[in-house]
Parts: sequence; structure tokens; C-alpha cells
Amino acid sequence: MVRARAFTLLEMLVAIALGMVIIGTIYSGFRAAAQAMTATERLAIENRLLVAGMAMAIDEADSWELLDRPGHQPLRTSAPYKAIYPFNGGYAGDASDWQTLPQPFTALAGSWPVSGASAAFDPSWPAHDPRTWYRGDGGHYFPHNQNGMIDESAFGDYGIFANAAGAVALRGTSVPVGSTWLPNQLKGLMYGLGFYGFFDYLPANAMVDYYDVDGAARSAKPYTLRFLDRTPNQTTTWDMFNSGRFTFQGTDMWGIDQFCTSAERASTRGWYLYSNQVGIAAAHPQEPGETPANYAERQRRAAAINRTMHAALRFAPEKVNTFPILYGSLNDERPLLAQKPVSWPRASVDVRRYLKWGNVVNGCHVRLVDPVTGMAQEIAFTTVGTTLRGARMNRNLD
Amino acid sequence: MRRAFTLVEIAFSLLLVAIGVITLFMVLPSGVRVQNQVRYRALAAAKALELADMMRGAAPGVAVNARDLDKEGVFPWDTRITYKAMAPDMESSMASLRGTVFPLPEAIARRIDSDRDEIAQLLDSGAQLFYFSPKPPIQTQESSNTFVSDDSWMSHGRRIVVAVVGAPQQNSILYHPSVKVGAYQDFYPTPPTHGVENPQQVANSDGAYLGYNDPLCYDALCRDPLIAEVFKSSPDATFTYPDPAQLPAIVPRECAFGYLPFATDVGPEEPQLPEPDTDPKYIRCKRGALGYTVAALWYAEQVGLTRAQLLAETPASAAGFADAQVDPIDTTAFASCWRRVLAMRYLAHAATCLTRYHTQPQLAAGVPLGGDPLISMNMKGVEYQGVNVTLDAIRAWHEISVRMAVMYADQAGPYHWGAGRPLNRQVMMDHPLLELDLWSDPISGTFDFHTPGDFPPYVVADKVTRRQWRGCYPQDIVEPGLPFMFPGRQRDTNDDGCVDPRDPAGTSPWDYPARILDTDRNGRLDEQDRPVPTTAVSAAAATPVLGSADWVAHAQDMQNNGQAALGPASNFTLTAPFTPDQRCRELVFWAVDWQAWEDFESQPSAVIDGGRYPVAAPMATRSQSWMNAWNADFVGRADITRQLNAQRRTQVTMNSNRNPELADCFRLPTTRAGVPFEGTVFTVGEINEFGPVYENHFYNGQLPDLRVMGSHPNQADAFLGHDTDLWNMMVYLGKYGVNRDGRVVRNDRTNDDAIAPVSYDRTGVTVPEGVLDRGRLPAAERLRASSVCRFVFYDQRASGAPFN
Repeated sequence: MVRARAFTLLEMLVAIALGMVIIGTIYSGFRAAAQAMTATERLAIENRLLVAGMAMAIDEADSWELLDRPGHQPLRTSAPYKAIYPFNGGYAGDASDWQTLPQPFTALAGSWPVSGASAAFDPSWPAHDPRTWYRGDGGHYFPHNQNGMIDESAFGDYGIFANAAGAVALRGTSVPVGSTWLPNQLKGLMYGLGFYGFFDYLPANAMVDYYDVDGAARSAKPYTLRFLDRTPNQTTTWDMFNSGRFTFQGTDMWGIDQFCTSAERASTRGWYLYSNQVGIAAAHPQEPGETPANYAERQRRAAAINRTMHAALRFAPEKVNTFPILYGSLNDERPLLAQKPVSWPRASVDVRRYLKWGNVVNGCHVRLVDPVTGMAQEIAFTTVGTTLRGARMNRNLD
Repeated sequence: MRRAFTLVEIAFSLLLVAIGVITLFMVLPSGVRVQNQVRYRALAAAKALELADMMRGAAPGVAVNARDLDKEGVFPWDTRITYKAMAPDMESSMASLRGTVFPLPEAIARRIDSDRDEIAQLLDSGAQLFYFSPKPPIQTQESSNTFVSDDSWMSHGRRIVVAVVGAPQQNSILYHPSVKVGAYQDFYPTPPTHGVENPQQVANSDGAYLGYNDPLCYDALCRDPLIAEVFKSSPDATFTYPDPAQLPAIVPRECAFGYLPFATDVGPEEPQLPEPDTDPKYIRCKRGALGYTVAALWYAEQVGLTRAQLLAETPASAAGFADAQVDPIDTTAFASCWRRVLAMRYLAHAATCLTRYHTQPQLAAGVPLGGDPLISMNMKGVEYQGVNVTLDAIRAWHEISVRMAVMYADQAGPYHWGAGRPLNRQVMMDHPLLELDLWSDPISGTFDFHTPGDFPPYVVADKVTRRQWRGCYPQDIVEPGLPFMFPGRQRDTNDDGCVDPRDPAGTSPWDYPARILDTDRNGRLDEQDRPVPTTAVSAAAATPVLGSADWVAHAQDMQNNGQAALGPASNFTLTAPFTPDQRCRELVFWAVDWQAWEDFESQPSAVIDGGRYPVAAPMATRSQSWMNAWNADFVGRADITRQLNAQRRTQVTMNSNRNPELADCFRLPTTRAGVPFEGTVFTVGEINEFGPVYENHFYNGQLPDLRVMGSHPNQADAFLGHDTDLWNMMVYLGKYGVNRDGRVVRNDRTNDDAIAPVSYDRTGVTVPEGVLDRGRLPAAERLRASSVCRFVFYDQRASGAPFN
């Protein structure tokens, strides 16, 4: 009989060591696996949120739902709102009248100017139609100084050819105006939609210039286009009319701009310059606990943005850095998810719409904020989206 | 008896376990890699959308007045900016400041390996690799702006690089500078197109200034010499007062016919309405408006419009009258209709001026052009004393002017350049199609490029040979006229207050040659014309009057010795059909940690396409008479002052010819004496400040002295002994490196226009100054780029909106 030999101490030690190696290896493996899975899951969650946020931003660029959706329609002025009629549209200018001010999603029908046969928005704008041809003095630049406007009719009263009003006082005598269609279309769009909508609706290369009548029924160009706040609390103004036509010589017969090309080609005719910095904004819904006064102020500020066309500084266009102010003002970051696990990143989407040098820009931001560290990650991009006009047509507003 | 496991068996078992565990280890990170890949793809997709949006954006590289900068030159390589800056292809869009994608320095790109060496092959073929600035794509001219932080920029985004695979196809170009930028555009009605030739007050070779302020009538010099009489009539136009004693008080000029005398009186001091009719200045303006109307009516009669018919027109009849004037069926009449279009433009403008100085009853009854008191208004033998202009006629002329311009533009098309295109209407495209002719012999020339003392010392070439493809239109250009940049006069030699064809030529060194385009004088510009000068072109008759005998001689000289600017229309392919595979290109994204290299910020900017830099065309000089013609010396362009003037009143914010990374370039060398130096980067405000002071320098190979930018220490040793021009050029080109990780400069040093904090910067982190950062890897290391994704796209054939 062979008696079974017990394990030797050495064997036991080897076995234990091997066992520990195995256990240790497996433990390490599981630990690494757990960490990798955690990281993967974390990345996967972030990626899903990121992709969902991008999809939401792209969708928002088309749908405009952050600015106008059922239950949240801050850009639809409730009736009664002001009808566009006086020389300056009848607006306060600082948007203090935001509650009656037509907004970008206000139906045009009620606010349109009421003069002549052009008392409605005409979506056709046929280029061959003489009504759509510009009939102003495009060749002369009328500067303004702190003492006010100079006589804009020095080269004739062009307001008799086309005017927002049906009649104009020609040196004291009322005379009928040749055409009211184009001035009223411009006036109605500008005051009815705000500047973003104004440029959005205009056909390519439309002339941004028209005549109206002042309090004495004389021809005048509305100062709303001409005197624009560059930034809040700044009163420096720039003449916007015809600025694309002329070079800033400073040494002509008047010592100021005038009809001189200096071998420049006449070029910019439309809204390229005017759309230097034009945004569209809406106040997001009232926050829990937010006072009505604060909410109203946010609404007023949004309306002011829509009524502000930051000046095209012709030869130092971005020296005065008003754009950051506008860009920041357009920020309306909205959460991607209404509810989420506390461990998930907070995902938000922000689509800022503005015009920049003739380009429609839909600036999309998708942001993830880590719930533990607070570290933010963001992807920003621009994309093509539906125009305001398209969004309004989708809502049957025109 | 059962045998225990042997040690070998146990070891083998352990091996199996180890393999399993290791396999598990290897599998688990792959999930992370997959998720990273997903992240990269998401970011690449977002950026691809952005790039497509940027290309859609019509004028990707063009700033506010960049299109105006594309002046006419003598040669195609003069002043051409839009050739590259407004090129519609994707790469041109990407290499502009409007986006947030910048070219990666080639030295860095060359260290990156990729599958099938695709990146290396792209670089070898002349393409560039691009990276994304970690800032929002705000689409301003300075997209690399200074007001947003990169702190929250997703780290994966910093590793993405992109390139365009596939060669660009033959696309349109907007202008062909060696011909003319086009028919120009004008408002209707307006006075004759004119300007003030003030060549920027640049010191000329005499040390004096070229600047002077005589109005120059382009329409007269470049379209029709008779228009000079509308601008300001010649002294044989006279009027007679009943009481000559009134003359000095009322009209203190020898002549009051034409636009210029009237406009000179109308100024900012003009009294507001209502004004007393007895005001002497008011009376003078009133007389001036009458004289302007007389001159315009005279020109209308000269080009075939009859006085009686014009005066009888009413608003109701205006449309029929206008349509008849530009009826293309009557080809003979249509051939000269452009002059009538111009005539009505002036007449409508002149007559409308009357509405400012007459009451409605006066206008209704008819304003006598002889004024009140009635005087003789005799212009060049034609009497206008008894002519009455009514308000109805004024309205009709306005309508006729606008309608004729629109009808002319429609009927004649964009290849008829006799009259300007009307700005009065909203149209998508009113511009001739043009492409480079790759089948004809190119235009060429050899230049004395460098004259000691003119150019900075880093320009060492003495002779430069340039070649450029001809342009190619789908049809001949009718009535090309002259380019406004080279109308043939620069000085008021007859001292009548304006520059026009009536100024005697040949005696003044201020003159410079007219650029005759239709050198075979058949009324068309085509491949048979030879408007590009060579050294064989004579210096004689450099400034002939349009249509004169000297003109004919000079045109013949050009025809004999010049070069063709255009290729035949049969070589035009822009509208030819194409198959998708002919124009299909790819956007290819890779991921690579290129910011890991120690020199990722100190590497100079990528090479900038020289085609984005305009070479200003020659302009007049003052005292060098031998430069007054298209002779060898002129073509040699030895004097830089001739070039300085072409690009004027421009702004350096024009991004079409800039280093795309400029807004982030370090202002100081990143190393001094081998020691890394934490430089600071430009602010947008600083860059813009270049413009008003040093605007010319950019366009002539020079740069502004950046040391005078206020905050900068003007210490020579800070620039390694470089002279100013060289240092400036190095800064401009990014030789000292670029703040490529986007660390933001807080704008609290040099820019007076403080940038307010914006809500975007939510982290509250105080961002350090834009300082030189260094990666962990030595430059000798190589990195492998992993492919992320590829997108197929087509380039546009034409820029979306040459005019906005």
C-alpha cells in the first residue's frame, strides 16, 4: 500500500502563490474591466447626449421651436398691437412698448401700414414689375451731424416718385406720389418683423432705402434705418443709406462723402452692410420664482435686440466690438433633457440666429457639464436652417 | 492511483487563464476606442456641416468692401483678389478668416502618418491640412475672435484635422482685372459718374504728394467724351443776363451749365426748407439746377432724343417711350441705345433737381430753363431759353430713366457694357460669367520687380516673370469702354475744375495711359483684341481722347504689339454639362494629437496662397514722364509709387488676403536667444487699427510698423535686430508662432473698446493671456492620424452672391 504523501510545505506555498496570482490577476482584470466599462459607459452617455444635442440644434435651426412653439410664443404680440403708420413706425425705440410692438412672429396683417394700395404684404416681389424698382436718389449721400439732418432734397424731391405715403408736400403743395408699393413693403417688413425679419424677407439685392413723409408731410428718409444704436447706451449714429455705394474719401467737394466713385465700382446695393450685426431673440419662459418685473424686463430686452441693427461701421467694421454683446445677448441655453439621472452630464443646446455681413448664421452650441466636477465641454458649429419666413409660413402667419 | 497535476500542466493552465485575462484586457479598452471614434465622428459631422454652411455663404473670404478692392489692373496679376478670395471652391472658403478652420503649418502636418500615406500625398500635391480653432464659428471676419474662451471646447475637437481630397474643377472667376471688372453698376437716375482722384496722398518720387482734388468724370473718359459737357460744360456754353451787374453776385462763375457747378453750390450748409427765394445762395442753386438741366437736355439731343418728344412725355406715356428706345428688334437703334440710357439717367436727375427750387404751381405750369428773370441759355449754339419743363415731364423722365435702364440691362445682357447695370432692381445675378481659358496661351511679362530703396530688403528678386491664363467669356463684350482705373487722364490740364477728355494730353507728367480694350475698334472686346501691353508698345500718344486720331493710332499700336486678354468663347466650358464623378470631392477628417509637439505653437503659419495678395496696378506718378505710357519702363514698373495708389481707402480687416491665423499670431518672437518667450497675441482691435494709418502697405508687400501700436515696446533688441519691415512681415505671416490652442487674450491692454464679458464665458475661469504653450513630444517624434470619416461634396461652380 502506498501511503499518500501530504503536500509539502513547498508545494503548498507554490499552490497558494499560484492561487494568489490567479486571484490577483482576475481581480485586476475585473477592476480594469469595471473601469473600462465605466469609462465606456460614460463616454457612451456623453456621446449619445452630444449627438442628441446636435440633432436638436439642427432640428431647431429648421423648426424655430425655441423661439416659438405651442405654449411659448414670446414673439407673438397679442392684439391690440400698434399699426405701422407714422414716420418712425410709431415706436418708442427702446422697446419699452414691447407689449404692443409687432414682433417677428406677429401676423403682418394687423400691423401693416395702411396707406394706399400697398396695405398688405405682397410675397411676390416680381423683379420685372416696375413697382419693385427703387426710385430714390441713390447717388447722393446725405450726411448728418449733431445738428440734425441736412436738406435731403438738395438734388430734388425724390419722395414724389415713390413714398410710403400717398401724397407729399412739395414746397407746401400736396402732390400725389407716383408709387407707394416698394416703400410700404420695406416699411411694413421693417417695423412689422424687426430687422432680422426685415432682411430675411427681402429678396436678394433689394434696395434698403425708401422715403416717407415727416410731420409736415415733406419727403424724408426714416431715421429708424439711419439712426441706429450700436450698443445699448451709445448714441453715436451712422448714416446707413447708400453707404455701400460710396467710398469714404473725405476730400471731395464738400469735404464729406458724396457722389464720387474714385474708381470704385458701385457695388453694394442691398443689405450686406446693413446686416453687419442683426440678431433675433426671445425671452425664454418665466423662471420659477422669477418676478414678473424681471420677466418683463427680459422680454423688453429681447424686443430691443429685434429692433436694433448694430451699425455697419464701414471702415472699421469690427473695431467697435459690439458683436460680443449681441452674441452674448442671443444666448438662450436650453436643457436637452427635462429630467435626467443625477449622474448624467447636464446637456444643453443653444441656437443663436443672426445676420453677419449678408450671411444668415445659425450658431449652434451643444454643451455638456459634468455633474461632479462642473467641467464643461462644448461643441459649436453653424448649419443651414429654415429662414424666418419659412418658419412663419409653416405657422400660417403670412 | 490518480496522479496529481504536474507543474507543467498547472503552468499551462495558468497560461490559458492569463491569455484569457489579457484578451479581456485587450477587449475592454476597445469600447473606449469605439466611443472615442463616435465622438470624433460626431464632431467631424458638425464641422462638415459648418464647412458646407461656410461655402454656401456666398462670399466666404470677402469683407465689407473687398469686392471694391478688386480694381482693374493692367495685367491679370495686378490687383486680383477675388480670383482666390472669392473662388467658390471649398478650400478657398476654408482658408479665410470667416470660418474657424485654419491651415496647419506644413512642418507639423509633415510629421503625421496616415493610412496609405494619404496626408503626405495630399501635402505633396499642394493641398493643406486644416485644424479647427477652438472657438465658436461666429462667421465674423475675425472668426478667431478674442472674446470667447476655449476652456469648454471639447478636447476631442482639438485633435481633428481635415483636408479636401480631389482636385478643384474649373470654376467661375468674378472679374478679369486685365480687362475690366465689368459694366459697373449705377443708380438711375444719377449724374455722370465721377470721382475725386486723390491718390492717397502718398509721397511720390519728388517727395511731394500726388493728392489733388479735381473731380474726374469717368463717364466722359471711359464711355462717351460728350458726357463731359453734362458734367461741366465747356466755356462756349453761355448765358446772358439782362443786367450783367447781377452776374458776380448771383453766379460767380464763368459757366453754370452741367452738374459740377450746381453740385458745388449744394452742400451741407444748404438752408433747410422753407427758405426765402431771395437768398443769394438759393438763387445760385436754382440757376445751377437750370443749367444742369440744360446740359443734360443738350446731351440727350446729341444722342438722338428729340426735345419736343421729351417735353411732351407724361407719366402715362413714359413706359411706351422707354420701351421703344431699347427695342432689340431694331438692331441699329439698339446698338446705340446705351447712350440714350445714359442720357436719360442724367436728364432725369438734372430735372428732378428743379423740384427743390420751384413750387408745385411753377412746376405744373412749366419751369422755363431761362430762369426768372428769363435769360438766354445757349449751350454750344443751342438755345434753351424758351424751353419749359413741367412736373409731368419730370415724372415721365424719371420713369423713362429707370425703365430704360432695366430694359437695357435685360435686353442687352451682362455682356454689353455701354451703360452701367441698374442698381434699382433686386436681381439674383446680373454679372457676366467668366472663367480662365486653359487652352489658349497665357499672358506673360517680365518685370523689374525690385528697385533698391523701394521695396524692403527681403524682396530680393530683380526680375520676375509672371504668367496668367486669359479670361474667357461665353460671348464677346459689346461696347467695353475703358476701365475706370485707367481712363487716360489724371490731371486738370485745362484748369476748368475737372478732369475729362477735354484736358490737353501729352504735356503733363501727371497723365497716365488710357487702357484701350477694343484695340481693333470693332465695338467688341474678344480674343482678337490685344489690350495687354508689352514692352514693344510705343510710348507715344499715351493719353489720347476717346475716338480721336491719336486714339486710333494708339489702338493700332496696341493691336500690333499687345497681348490678347481673352480666349475665344468656344473655350468657355462653365455651363457645359458634367457628370458627378467629374466634380465630386471629399472632405476627409482625421484625429491626431498634433498639439502634443513641443513646437505646435511656435511653428510659423502655413504657407499662404500668393494669389490672395494683390499686386497693385500702376498709377500715375508726378515727374517721370517716361512712365506715362505702356512702354518698357512702365511695364517694368520700377517705381513703387505707381503701385501704391491703386489700393486705397482699403481696410486690413479685409480677410481675403490675410494670413488666416493672424488674429492669433504672436506679436513677439516666441523665442529670444533660444529662450522661450511668452508672447502675446493680437487683439482684433489692434489688427483693425492697422487700417486707417497704414492701409496701403499691405497691398504692396510692406507692412505697417506694428511697434507703434501703443502698448508695444519699441526696443530694437526685442526683434533680434530685424528692421521694421522685416519684423512686421514676420509677424504678419505668423513667423513667431500662433496661439493655436486658443488661450484667450483678455482685451484689457491695448484696445480702447473694452470687450464686455459675455454669457458664453460661463466658467468664470480667468483665462491666461495668449502665451506660448509647448507640447510634451519632441519635434522629431511622429504621430499617426486615425481616419475618422469622409464626406462627399461638390464644389460650387460660381460664387453664390457676387453682389449683395
